[in-house]
Formats: sequence, structure tokens, C-alpha cells
Amino acid sequence: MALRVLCADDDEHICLLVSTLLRRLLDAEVQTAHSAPEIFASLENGPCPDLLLLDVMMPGQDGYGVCRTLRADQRFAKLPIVFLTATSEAAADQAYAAGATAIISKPFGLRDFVPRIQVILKDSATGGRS
Amino acid sequence: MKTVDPELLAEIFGLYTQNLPQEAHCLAAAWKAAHDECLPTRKKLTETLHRLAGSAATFGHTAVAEPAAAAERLLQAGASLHEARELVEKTLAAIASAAPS
Repeated sequence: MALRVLCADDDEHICLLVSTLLRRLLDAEVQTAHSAPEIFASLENGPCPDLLLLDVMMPGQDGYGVCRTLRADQRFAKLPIVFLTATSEAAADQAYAAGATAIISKPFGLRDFVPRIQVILKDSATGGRS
Repeated sequence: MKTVDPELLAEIFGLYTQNLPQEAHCLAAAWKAAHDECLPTRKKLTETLHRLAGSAATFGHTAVAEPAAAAERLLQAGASLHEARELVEKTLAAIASAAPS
């Protein structure tokens, strides 16, 4: 079965780039969302993804808030959530405190991105943190 | 491992570059609005700089990303708009240089 990914970023070009990489290299099914309400709608109305890629700064509720909300919901408590952000150390701490599985910093290298996702998914499946 | 068609990647990068004038418009509007000295407009300016810094760096426009990231850091640290002006202007100038004419 194809890997299902929800990519949430308010920058449509980042969503396009990430979607293209995951579709072409992993044959993934990728949905996109550009705000917190779109993320929640996608999760409520569609099948649960195998991975959520989440930007920190989005209009309205930020990624930390989205992550905390999802972690409080039993259905998404174990969903791998990877923050995609131009992050600082403090932001990384905040992301992990909110329940992030891993963080990928922007800018991300095109060659490294998919292998990193694969490692994160593997670690997540075995209960580790990347 | 599979590879992504370089032409497809070039097309996506090209789309980003083509959209840079829109990014400049957003940043200029956020900069102007922030001068009302309200917290929400300052937050919007910081968010705009953050988004631009992340995406421009990812798409190889480091001349845009670096001053945008520096301006974001300055504003996050509580600096005044006056202190951030030079970096915001540098960001806008870099966008103008990188964007298609």
C-alpha cells in the first residue's frame, strides 16, 4: 500500500516541491494543506496519513498548536509528525515539547530529504526518535 | 533508488522564481502595515519574513533568504522597525535582482 502523507505548509511552492519528491521517489500519495483548519478537515474527512509534515508558522493556529491538538486525540497520538521549519534551537525544543516526532530544517537538501523521511518513518515504527 | 527528473525540478524552482514579485509585494505590504505599531501587524511581518527565509533558501535564493532571516531574528528579539529597515530593504532589493524582469 502506498505511503500516505499530509504536507501542511502555507507556502504552496514548498508543498509542490515536497509532494513531487515524495510522489516520484516513494510513490507516496500526498495531500496538501495550507492552514490548521485545512489540516483538521483533511484528517477528519480522509484516511489517516502515515506521516504529517507540518510547518511551524501558518495563518491562525501555528504548527505547535496543531501538534498539541493532535497528540491529545487518541486517533493521532502515534501519527509521525515531522516539523518542516527554518528552525532555531528554541523552536526545536518547542516542537518536541508539542509532540513532534522529528524536525527537518529548511532549507532542506533535495538529495537528503527523502532518505531522512525514510529514516524517521523507520525509527518511528520501532519507537525511536529521529 | 529512483530519481526526480531534473527538468521537473527546474520547472518547480522556476515557478518559485516567477512568483518572487508576489513575495516582494507581500513583504512590502507587511512592512508598511507593521508601521501602525500594532502587535498583529508586527507578527504578520515576522511571519512573512520567516516564510520567505525558509522558502527562498530551499529554492536556492540565498541572497533573499539571508537578509530575510536576519530581519526575522532581529524582530523576534524585540528590535524596532527602524533597526530592521536596512535588512528588509536588502531583502526586497535581492528579490528584485532575482525575479524575472
